[in-house]
Amino acid sequence: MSEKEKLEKAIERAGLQDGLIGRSHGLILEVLEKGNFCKSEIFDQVKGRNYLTAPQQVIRATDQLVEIRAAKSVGTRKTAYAEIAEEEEVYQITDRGKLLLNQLHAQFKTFDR
Amino acid sequence: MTDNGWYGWAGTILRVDLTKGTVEKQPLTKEMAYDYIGGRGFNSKILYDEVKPGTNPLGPDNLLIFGTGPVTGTCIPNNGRFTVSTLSLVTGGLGDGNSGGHFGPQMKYAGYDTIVVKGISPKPVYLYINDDTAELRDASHLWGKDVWETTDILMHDHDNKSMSVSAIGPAGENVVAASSIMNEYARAAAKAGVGAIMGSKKLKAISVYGEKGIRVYDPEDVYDSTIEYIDLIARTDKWWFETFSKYGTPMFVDQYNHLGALPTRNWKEGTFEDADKLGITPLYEKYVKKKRGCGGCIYHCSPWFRIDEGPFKGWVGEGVEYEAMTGFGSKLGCSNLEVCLVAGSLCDMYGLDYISASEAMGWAWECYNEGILTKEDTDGLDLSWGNDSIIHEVLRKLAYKEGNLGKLLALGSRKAAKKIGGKAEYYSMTIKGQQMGSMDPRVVTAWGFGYGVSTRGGDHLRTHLVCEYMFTPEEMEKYIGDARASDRFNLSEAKADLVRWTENVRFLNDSLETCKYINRGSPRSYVEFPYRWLTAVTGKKFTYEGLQDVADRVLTVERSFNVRQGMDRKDDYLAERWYKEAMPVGSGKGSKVDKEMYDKLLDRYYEVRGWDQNGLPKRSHLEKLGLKYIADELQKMKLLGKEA
Repeated sequence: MSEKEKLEKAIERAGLQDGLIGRSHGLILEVLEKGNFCKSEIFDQVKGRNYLTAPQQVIRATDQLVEIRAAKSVGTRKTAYAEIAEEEEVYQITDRGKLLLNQLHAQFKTFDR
Repeated sequence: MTDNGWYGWAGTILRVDLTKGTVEKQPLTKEMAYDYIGGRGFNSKILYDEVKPGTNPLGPDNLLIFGTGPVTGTCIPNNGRFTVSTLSLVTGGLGDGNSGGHFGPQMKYAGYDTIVVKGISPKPVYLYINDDTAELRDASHLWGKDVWETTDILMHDHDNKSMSVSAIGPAGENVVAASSIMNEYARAAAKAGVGAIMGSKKLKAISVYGEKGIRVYDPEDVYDSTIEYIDLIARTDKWWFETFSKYGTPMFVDQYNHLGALPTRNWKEGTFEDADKLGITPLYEKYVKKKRGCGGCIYHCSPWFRIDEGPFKGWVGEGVEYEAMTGFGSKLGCSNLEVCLVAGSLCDMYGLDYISASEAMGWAWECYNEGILTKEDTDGLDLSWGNDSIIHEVLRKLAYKEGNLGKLLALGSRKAAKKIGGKAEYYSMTIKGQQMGSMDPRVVTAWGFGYGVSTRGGDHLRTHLVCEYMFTPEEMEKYIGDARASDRFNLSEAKADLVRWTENVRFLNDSLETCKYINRGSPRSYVEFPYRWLTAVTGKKFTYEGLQDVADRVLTVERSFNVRQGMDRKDDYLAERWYKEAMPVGSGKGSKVDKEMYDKLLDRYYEVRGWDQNGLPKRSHLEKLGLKYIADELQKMKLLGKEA
């Protein structure tokens, strides 16, 4: 099975087919391409784009990326967002995440709208 | 377990006439069960049919209806809810309160879907239910007791710690608008002055215990769908599942403060500078000793606390949650967590709704700080923002309607503001006269629009619109049809469709009688499970689309009730402050509600609801929903909506 097929299978297994992986995930993966960040830090970098206006949206979209193994946790650190966790997990983009990001770039002219 | 031909539903409505002192059993009909599902659905239908225009909320013709759902008491997740409905003392329209705990399951185990109470008893009574035995008993020895004392006495007298007691405290006895009906010490059916309605009927309590059980049609699918649901939430709503299980609603203090939505100083602001003193960190470090849950709960969100030192040493309480932290904290400018914890417990004992009580107080605090109320009005108390030393005393005055301040606050903030007049009315943050809690509409705009059109008046639970800030824009596009609804600051027309959708799916919570926390960030949890659970439990085949029709029907029955009581478009607006004053601080700084767009939203919302531009239901829509008799009645009253 090719990496592309594995990604498709993972998306299907997570019930995220039919457009549920889209611009928001592209924005998050772009941030993680620049470095490893926790969810609140990702939100700070994408807020206002593609209608992302609350940290909870980024929390859920990042968890979806982790579920399909496009991102992974590489440690924890303390942040100001007590409601997210006492210590937030730090995420890194995976090879599958890079593949997904390329696909999303091909699909959308821009992740903004 | 009795084989009476019903699965899920118990099959019996209990009719109590307090004036006559009678208790009768009435069989549930299939038409009622299938067309209205249960809980709030049954209650609203009965209320429309039996409470006529001109009824005095405190008179014998008003009803007090306790309704369970078909999944109440089964193993479907978080099934321990029930709804209490009445003609609202506060809005003059439809009113209801929803509570958790174990009262609902006990009603079902005793064999009753719904209890309908009418009349006024000549002396205080309580309704005693033990399976088939259902009778009114003297409550003279309970009158004047608080909720906790009443509960203890009934459990002791009946030597049954498994019985569930739903009772009013002094606030209900004294017909205070902010009164609630409490069950199991700390669970509240609140809003609409339900406790005052119960007090006006001289009904102190209902004690219920049952051993009949509930038959479910397909136990295997009930079990399988429950496991699938829990797996879905744990996997796809991971943050919510883990964090809420750990902290319960106090986590919202931090969360809403970050969103700029934490009601602060009577909704002047949405960010509180001392929120960290009220949030989960101090609460769990020092006070919470364990957590409890309602029937079938998978979260156990109810913190049980004990204060071990200081002026409140020895205080214990349960279920103190976000609305106590913000209600007696940020809304009053108070940063003393212990004061908030004790205030919450006092509300439980007095039978007061946290939200309605603290909202009335927030209004008084602002009026005092603006020079509208003086020490003469407050019985000498200093209501300055942040003065936490008087909060408990004000609660006591409110519950006992004591002094000038107690009598004023007991009216609820809208009626109190009308009495004072002038700018006091501007500071009353109500919709249809009902006070609300939760989040500031200026920074969660669909949430706010949901407040406006809620059939029970200002209220966050009709929509409980967390999907506005939890669905990803991609999920919003797929399930609502427009990703713009994910932008919590902008009031686009997409929000009208979002509100209609959430009103419908939240109605399913209120009719199956499941907790609203079972549906949060995962769209699939809203769509895929209610019809499957209903089918598995009852044996009647339900579909998602069919349940949308039921929701449309009940929402329109509720709207028709309010229209018959004189409400229309003019009653669907927010408090003026939210249109006029931009949020001064926080992540929503500069935000306010665009009134022109709000009007466009009302147009769109009425259109998708099948109502005319004045918010009156149309005949074509009523007939489509099987409500011809309501169309005929509204036509006679000249209240039928105009067809386009």
